Amino acid sequence: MPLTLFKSDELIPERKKHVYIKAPGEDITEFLPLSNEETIPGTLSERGCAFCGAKLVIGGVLKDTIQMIHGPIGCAYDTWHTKRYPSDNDNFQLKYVWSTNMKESNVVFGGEKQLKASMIEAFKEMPDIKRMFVYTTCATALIGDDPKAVAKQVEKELGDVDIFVVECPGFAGVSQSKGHHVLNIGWINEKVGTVEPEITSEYTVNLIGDYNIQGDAYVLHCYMEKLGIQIVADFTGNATYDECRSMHRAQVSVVNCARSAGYLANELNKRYGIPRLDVDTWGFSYTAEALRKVGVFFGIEDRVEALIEEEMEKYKAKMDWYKERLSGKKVAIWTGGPRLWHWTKALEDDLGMTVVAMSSKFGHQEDFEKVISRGHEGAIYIDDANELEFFDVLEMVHPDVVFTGPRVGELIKKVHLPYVNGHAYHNGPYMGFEGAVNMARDIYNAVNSPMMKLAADDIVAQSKAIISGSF
Amino acid sequence: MESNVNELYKYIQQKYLWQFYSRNWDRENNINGILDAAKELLMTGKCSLGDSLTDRHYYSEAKIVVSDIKRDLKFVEGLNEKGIAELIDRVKAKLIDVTVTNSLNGELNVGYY
Repeated sequence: MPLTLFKSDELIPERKKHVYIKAPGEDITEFLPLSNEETIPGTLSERGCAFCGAKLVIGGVLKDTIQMIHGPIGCAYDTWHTKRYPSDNDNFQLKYVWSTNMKESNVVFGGEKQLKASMIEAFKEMPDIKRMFVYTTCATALIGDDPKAVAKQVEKELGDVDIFVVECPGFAGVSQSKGHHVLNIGWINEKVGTVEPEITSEYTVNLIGDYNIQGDAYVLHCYMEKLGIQIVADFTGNATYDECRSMHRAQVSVVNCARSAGYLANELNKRYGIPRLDVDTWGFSYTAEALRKVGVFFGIEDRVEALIEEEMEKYKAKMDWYKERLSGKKVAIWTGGPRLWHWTKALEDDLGMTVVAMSSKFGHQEDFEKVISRGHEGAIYIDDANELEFFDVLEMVHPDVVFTGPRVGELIKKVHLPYVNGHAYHNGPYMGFEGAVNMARDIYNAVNSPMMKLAADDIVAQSKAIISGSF
Repeated sequence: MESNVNELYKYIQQKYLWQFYSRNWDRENNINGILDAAKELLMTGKCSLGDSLTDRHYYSEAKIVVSDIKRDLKFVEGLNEKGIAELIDRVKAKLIDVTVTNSLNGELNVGYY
């Protein structure tokens, strides 16, 4: 079926280029939704801003780094604490939020003095912390503040600190994706290669595009440790600033989120000859395949098979239990981009579910090539979906459960359908064998909870009926 | 052979991420490097790739491909060396056609990452 115009989009026909329903015999050279394009006026987009893509997704995960947000206070709060990525140093990065708290006078007279004072204050308040990211936001970019010059002054004055500046205000791109890009390229240009790591194993990797959502990184790190593989840097799950400066010394980059960090993996390959090994670390079968690839790369297949056997023994029976009960259930995945292609086959193969619709906020056409190739015929694929389109889709496919974030999740709850938090998870980790079982459990609980059915009951009408004796 | 080519092509499209890297040259390098190594593994059980990190990447992906298709696509076991070579070469051409030459992805030729 060609690209499709939903009923709700009759007044914004441009949306047709962003919606595809896969039909038998078609391939991705015939139809591919437009994506990473400007949101069309008239559509109520669910996207975040470019600054958010840099700060909330990538930079803010670092566990030993002050995240100085140069802008009004709202930019700080709205990108803090909404994604649960813990760390093994008592969650430093989740406990604090930093902002220059720009006011009208700073906008009129310039914010550089305020920025410098805030940076120095933050370092003095937290004397053990010697690393900082500084982000521009819309206001400070528009008035032409020069945070790189300020960062140089602060580095010179304090002497023992290192600062990375991300110049990616919210308006810099069409979505969060621009922030990923700017941060990746800035990091490889300015910071990678500036610290030499201590190499302790003959096998070394970078893990790229894992952000330790509810402990994902802990699962992956545990596997690497059991295999005797040193993680030079995890970009950026449970990572330190300096670990990420030493990525040039790994033998291979194992890439999970190719959308948010593929740029860095590509540049590591181009500049340092470190190959990029793309894997899916969500999903039971995918995790085994990812580990096997790493095992072949290092010639340690025996260790990998032993690890897989050990994990299968712990988790396979649980996974089978959920599969028996979730088989045939319909699921929609409305997340950022990569989770569409990471999850569609995983949910179908591991749990026997049917993925009926997928929507991406910031995916590029590369992501749609992957997901349409992996998805089955009849599934709906949407770029930058709006709320009315979501209602159309619900009517068309009647999912049993929806994976999405809390914002769209509220919409889903209002129509009395269960949703599972596809961004920050309900009760993760979701990666690895253990994570696949957690994910299955959360889907099972969502699908079988009586809450949504009870919420749909009109108790006021029922009460009146009981009182009047007609119930 | 036509149906075997289509079956393997669809299998690869659905399973592997290496065909969808960011740019044309990455995709072409991966498809050629990995499937040439897979062809050699299927024909001889060995791989003549060297020990560079890139070679090890191709080899690790190829070994997974070979293991998967031997398990899931039974017709592969029945092919002789000539048949395997024809199968892989035709699948490679089809993959390059779909993921590189005729891809609708507007970013594939962007000169920077």
